[in-house]
Order: sequence, then structure tokens, then C-alpha cells
Amino acid sequence: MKHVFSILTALSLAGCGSPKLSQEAPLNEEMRVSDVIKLISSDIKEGADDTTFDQQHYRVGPSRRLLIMYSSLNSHVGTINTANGGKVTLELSLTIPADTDSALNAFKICPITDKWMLLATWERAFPRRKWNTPGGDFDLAGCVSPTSTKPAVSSASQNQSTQPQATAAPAADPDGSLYFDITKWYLNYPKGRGVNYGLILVSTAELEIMGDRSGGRSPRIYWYEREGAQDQNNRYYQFGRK
Amino acid sequence: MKTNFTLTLLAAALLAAQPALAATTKVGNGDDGADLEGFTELTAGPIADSRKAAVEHLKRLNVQGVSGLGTLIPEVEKAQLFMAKRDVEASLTEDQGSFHTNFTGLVFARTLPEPHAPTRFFPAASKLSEDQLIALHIHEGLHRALPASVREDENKVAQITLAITSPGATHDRVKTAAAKHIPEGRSNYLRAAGGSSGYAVEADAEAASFRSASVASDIYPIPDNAKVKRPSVFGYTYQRFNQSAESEANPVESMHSVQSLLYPFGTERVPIGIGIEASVLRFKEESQLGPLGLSFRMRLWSVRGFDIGTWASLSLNTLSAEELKNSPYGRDVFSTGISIRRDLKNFYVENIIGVTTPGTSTQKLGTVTYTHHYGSVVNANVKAGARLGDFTVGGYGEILLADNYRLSGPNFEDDTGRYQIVGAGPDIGFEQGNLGFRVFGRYVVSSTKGADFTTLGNIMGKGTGQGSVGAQLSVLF
Repeated sequence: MKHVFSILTALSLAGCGSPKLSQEAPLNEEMRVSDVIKLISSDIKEGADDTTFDQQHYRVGPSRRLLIMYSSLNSHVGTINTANGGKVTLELSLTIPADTDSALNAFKICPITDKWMLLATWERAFPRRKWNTPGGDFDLAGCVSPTSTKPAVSSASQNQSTQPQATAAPAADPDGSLYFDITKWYLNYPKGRGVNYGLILVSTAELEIMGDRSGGRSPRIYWYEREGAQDQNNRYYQFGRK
Repeated sequence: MKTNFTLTLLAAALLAAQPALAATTKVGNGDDGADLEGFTELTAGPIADSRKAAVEHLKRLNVQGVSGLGTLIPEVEKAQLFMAKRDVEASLTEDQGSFHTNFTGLVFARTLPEPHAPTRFFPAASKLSEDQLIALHIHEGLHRALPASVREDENKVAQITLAITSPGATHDRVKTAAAKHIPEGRSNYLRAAGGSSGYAVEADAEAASFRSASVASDIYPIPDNAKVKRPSVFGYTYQRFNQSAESEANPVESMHSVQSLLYPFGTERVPIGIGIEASVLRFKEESQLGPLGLSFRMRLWSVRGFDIGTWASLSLNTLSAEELKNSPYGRDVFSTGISIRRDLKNFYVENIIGVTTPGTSTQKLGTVTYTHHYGSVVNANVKAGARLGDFTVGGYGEILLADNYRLSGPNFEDDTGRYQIVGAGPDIGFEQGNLGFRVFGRYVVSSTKGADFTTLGNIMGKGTGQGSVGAQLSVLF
């Protein structure tokens, strides 16, 4: 039994280290919807207010902000491809597409710098702790503005099995989708520091975006990784557990 | 007062006239045939009426609480009374007691020294005053109610009779006299169980073990207002919570609860009972059924005069509304502890030490589930105050030492580590008869890790938020 396990482990390690697999496997786009979204507002005092989470849409503005968490991203740290223009992208959708121009000027997505939960309020990150600054603690220098076009990876880059090259998709009529390049956030926080406190949507104008119960237009993130990278990770994990 | 004084004069005169009392005498057999001349049962008249007065006198002195005299009242109250057709002379040694005969040697009354025996009066007793008849009823009753090793000792029975009927007789004086003349000092139920013949033998062997308890109980008699005497409570409590910013997430404004703590088991000194407590929680916009508390309780009057209570309680949330189960309070809480109380004339002090077991509850917010992990809690509490008539004015202080409170969910975990809460508050009460009323408060004086009562997750035991004010109306029995 011990020999069988050793052989399996050796074969697995050999597969992991094969440059051929990692270079030849195509880049796939991964997508995850947010698992925790929370509206904080200066006029809502109760953390358990059920209008602040699990909603079809949220109205944001100068005193109404949206906390967004993607805890499912944690298991992909290390396999996300960010070399040579590979990006991690956050997509939000406006309920009124005509508000796109306003949103492009008013919205910013910023890295949250402290832990929080669904009982957060404008004053408190969670019941036992206040934000250092009412309205949420976030990294102002790390804020990014949206675009109305989704960054893409060129097919040429994929076919040549080189690192992805980000290119802009052809311009189209705005459908209310907004794209935020959160690659720096990913590199500085989940990957660089090993912490994932999520992101906060800050707005200088009163606008409405689709919520986590809106099906195909709920807030989501995209990234690229080599096909099988996550599977291999899982396989190693399973071996390790055995 | 006049009655007692007359009784004393009578007793003193009789004692002086009877040198035989200096030595141990026997009384009560009387079966020499001289008094078997025919009896008629007494159901009315001065002798029967005086028995009621004797019973009232004994109840006023609370003699059922005196070790060795537990069956005196029933013996006086229930005994059949007979009247002989003619007087007899005190020819028996058992008749030599001062309570049994008059100056001319005629017998007043006789009884058999065993439980439930009748009392036989003789025409000479008809000339006695009511006060004298009261003393006679009590004296004859003592011959039947006392332990076997004492009940036939006329000298000791006379001394106890005097203690009961003397002017200014009090419960404590009777108790002291009983302790002096009843060395066994054991409870009457044991006397009854031992029987009149067997008990005397076994009493010697067991006397030593009971003697210390007897003496102690006489030094520290159970006061009438001691909780151990009236442990059962039926009451209603209202508490209004002072919400903290922390508890804004799950605001409970107030709690109504009804308690029924009944002690049907055990003995007078060690009552044992079971308690039920139901509660209703008031939130901002609605009311919900709160936890259901079940408890096993015992009280004990210690040999050093302390009132000790122990309990083990379970606060069940399984009967709560769905909303409550999905909140930080939706957990079962088991706690146990001991309280030690001492009441002095104008002061009381009580120590309480308790332990609450750890537990968890889940809280679902939308599609996200959070888990609250509560650590075990040790509670040290001191209550003290002044007793002013029917009022008690005091307060309490407590220290709660708790193991980690941990809140975990998707990509989130908050762990307080070990923390403490220091609480204090006033406690003002009023008791009259069976009714009790108290108002009280509970506040967080200081705490570590930002904890307050919400952090304990024990709404029925400790409340929530920064504290509470409350009022309780109860019936004590």
C-alpha cells in the first residue's frame, strides 16, 4: 500500500511539474458571482435590516455604499493568470442602461482593508467593531474607475500558448454593464497579503445597480487560468488528504 | 401575656408543691383499674374549647419547626378527649407530676405515652381555668409527641411545658429547652419510624450523630423569612433591556417571563423542587415566544445557619419562533450553580457561583449562514443589603469570566479570546406575607474585548445589551 501511494504521488508530482502541460493548456475564462453583498447606509442603523442584503437591486450614492465579497476566489489564488496583461475583472450592471455615463464618472471600486460581515452598518464592520472611518475602511489609493467595455484575452495569445494579451472588445451600445479592472487588488490583497476583505463600491451619484438576486446580471468577477490548473490543484489536495 | 403569666404561676406553684419533680418520674400509664370507671367522649365544653386555644398558642410559637416537637400540634389537635365519671387519687408514680394532680391529690388527666393515644380528663380538671387547661393539653400532648426516651420523663416534659407556656415564650426559647432536654434532637419522622419501644435503643447509638445538628439548629434556627422555609415561587418578571450598539443587529427590547418553582420533595431543611419558566421576547415590531427554562432545584439549611441553594437549569430554544432560532440567542443554555445566603436581623449577604456550558447557534441572513460559538462562562456574584422591616435595600456585583466568543461565516471570523464582564446593579425588595415584590437593575460596569451581555448568548439568564431594569411580583410559599 505504501508503495502504491508513493508511485501515485510521484506520478502526480511529475504531472504538476510538466512545463508542457502548463504551456499547452489553453487559457479559460473563469467566472464567479459574489457570495456576500451588503448595502451600508448612513440612515440604516440595524445590521440585520433585510433590505440591505439578498436584493434584486441596490441604490447607491454618496451615503449608500455596497460591500462586495468573493470568498470563492480564495481557492483560485495562485492559479489565476495575471502575467502579460491577464486581468481580474469585476462586472456590475446598472438597472437603467442610460445611466452608464453617469456611473462611469461616479463609481469607484476600492479594496476594503478590514474584515466585515453581513451585519455591517455604516458605523460598524460587524457588531463588535466599528469601522475606523464611518462608511467603511478602504484603500483610497487602490480605487479603480469602471469602463463600459470588457477587457478580453486575444485568441492569438492563447493559440501560441504564450501569456495572455489583454485587448478591448469592440465598442457596443451600452447595456448598463460596467467593468472594473481589479487585478491590482487581487495582486495586493488576496495574492500578496493573503487576505480577502472584498471590495466596496463608492459612488458620488445616486444610481441603482442589479443585486445578487438578479440572476444573470448579478455582480460577478472574471479571470483567466490555464485549463486543468484548478483540477490539478484539487487532485494534489486530494492526494495530500489521503 | 396575661395568659402566659397565669400559666407560669400555675406551673411554678405546682412545681414547688411537688418535691417528687426533683427526681425523674414516670407518668401516663394509669392502667391500675382505678380510672376505668367509664368515660364519655368530650366534644364540647370548656375543656374541648381550651384545646383550640392550646393549638393556636403552639402555632404562634411555630413549634413544628422545633426538632423533636414536630408532631406536638397534631397530637394536641387530633387526640380524642374523654371525661371520667369520677375523680381518682394520684396513686401511681406516673401521676406525681405537677401537671397531673391538684393539691388534694386528685388526678387532672392521664394519657398513654405513645402517639395518637387519647387524653382522659377527670372531674377535677373541670375546676381549672382556661389557661390551666391549655397548659394541661400541651403537657399531655408532649407525653405523646416527644421521642420515646424523653416522653415518660415527667421532669423533662414539665420543663418543656414551662418553656412553651411561660410569659414571653418564643420559638427560640422553646427550641433551646427542647435541645436541652431532647439530646437526640432528631426529627419526629424518625421518632415515628423508630416506634416507641425500638427508638430508645437506637437513639443512643444515633444520638451522637444527630446531636451536633440539633445543637446547631438551635443556635441557628430557621427564621420565618428564610427562603428555605418558603422556597416555592410563582411569579412574573418584566425586564427592559438597555440596547448597546452591538446588539442593534438583533434588538430585543424587553422580556416578559412567568416562573413557577415548586418544591414538593425533600424535607423541611432540604426541600427539592422543579422549576418552569416561560418567556416572551418583545422586538421592535413584534413579540415572539422566547426560551423555555426547566430547572432542578434544591435548598438546604446548613448546620451553620446558612441558606444554601443549588440549581441545574436548561434554557431551551427549541420551542422558540423560527426567527429566534436564526438569531444569536437561538441556542440551548445549560447552567448550574450554588448560592449561599445568610440573613441577619438587619443585613443579608449572598454569594452565587455558577457555570454555563458552551454552545453554538446559527444565524441565517439571506443565503449566508453565520455560526456563533459561545464559550463556557463562570459567574461569581455577591449580593448584599440592608433589611428594614419588610423592605430589603441592596445591590449586587458580579464578575463573568467567559471563554472565547467566536463568530464565523463566509470569509469572516471574529474571535474575542477570553473575556470578562463586570456587572452591578441595585436590588430593592418588599415582602409581606406570601407576597413579594422587587425591582432590580443590571449594568455592565466594565468589560474586555468590547463584550456586553449580548456576547454571552444567554438571554434568559443574563439578558442582552448593556443591561436591564426589571420588576418581579411573586407569591412565596
